Amino acid sequence: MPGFLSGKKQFEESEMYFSTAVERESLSSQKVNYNLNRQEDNEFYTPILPGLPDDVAKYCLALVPRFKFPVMGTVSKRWRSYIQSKEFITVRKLAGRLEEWLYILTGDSKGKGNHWEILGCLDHANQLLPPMPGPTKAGFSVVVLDGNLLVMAGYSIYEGTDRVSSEVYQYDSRLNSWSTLANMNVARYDFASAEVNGMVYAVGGYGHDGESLSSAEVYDPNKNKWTLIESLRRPRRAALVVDLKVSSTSWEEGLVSQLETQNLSMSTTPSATHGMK
Amino acid sequence: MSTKKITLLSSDREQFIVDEAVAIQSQTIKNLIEDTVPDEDGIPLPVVHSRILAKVTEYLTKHANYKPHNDAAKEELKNWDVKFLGKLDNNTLFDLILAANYLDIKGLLDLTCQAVADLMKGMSVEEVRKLFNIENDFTPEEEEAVRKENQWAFD
Repeated sequence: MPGFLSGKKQFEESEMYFSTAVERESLSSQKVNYNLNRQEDNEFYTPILPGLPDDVAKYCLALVPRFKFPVMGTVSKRWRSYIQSKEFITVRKLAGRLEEWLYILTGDSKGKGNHWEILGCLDHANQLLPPMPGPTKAGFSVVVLDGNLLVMAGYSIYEGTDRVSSEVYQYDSRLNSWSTLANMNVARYDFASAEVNGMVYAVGGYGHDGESLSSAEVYDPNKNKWTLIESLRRPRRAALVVDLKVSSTSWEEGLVSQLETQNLSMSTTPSATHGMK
Repeated sequence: MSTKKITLLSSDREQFIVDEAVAIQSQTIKNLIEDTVPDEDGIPLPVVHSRILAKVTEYLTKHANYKPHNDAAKEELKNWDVKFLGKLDNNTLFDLILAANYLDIKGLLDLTCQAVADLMKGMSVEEVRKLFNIENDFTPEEEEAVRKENQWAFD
């Protein structure tokens, strides 16, 4: 339970639906350790809920049932950025409201694409996610990052020819919508990926002509940017990415380099992944 | 069984006399009892008006004297909480949150924050903005875009 004792707000508007008009003048005359003006120091500051300190308001919003999140995300920019923030997940976790969801990717009949489903979430039946943007693909990788689902690269068959992609899509589990993130530097498929310390690593796989790739890159969600990092010593596929250390196995030689036996978190092209919201 | 009485003093200097066991459910009051020399009129709570302190002590008294041992008793306490909240207008609800926050009463803070969260159930975006007096800072184009995303609403 977080302490909610910081920063009390005072505000002047008279037409509030919630006013906190109770004896405000008495506050200033008392030696109470309340910093009344902290939040007003910033002229651009807008409270999440006028009349309440932000930490309490954040707690209130975290208690709202999740089906209201898309509506809440449309109320104001302030609300939207809070609901999409890592902090929102943390507060919901502290409030015991975090739900664990299992995302399943299922193929539709006759190979006509695929779609994501959410499995058995509390009192809800299985739910379909909105359709993933872009062409139907295979060989992509999936990770969960801050309660969002990232679907990265892969290849699609378009008018009979393979097209390898560097596109990255993100499903926002709170607002229930897909968006496009920055492209990867290298189009690839059947590669390894994992989230490590808030960054996403993509390693190896195959490129445009089916050649094995040795390149590796990392995604920083704060900058929405992929950056190439030191390449593998030889092209790899069937890589494993493990917690804290990124490792990969060599397809040809069956060698395992730097393989941690614990915390194996991801293999190539998973069909199910476990997320939180 | 200790029946030591504690006097609480609201911001408008009204006295509320309660059992110590009732008062110390507030962590802030507990600390004040332990750490400060009491005012002769009582423990001053300068940010809580008598109108709100009356509600707070009503809640604390019920919860101190009522330790549910079985499901039926728990259910009764829950029903009491619902009735307690039902009597509050929205202004009082916000003031009670501020008091519960200041007095550090987790049960009351959870109850009142949940009540605010529940107000939003079944409301449209416009109704939420109006209820909480929140300015719509989206441009019409931005709002159109985020609303489009919402067409896939959850069940």
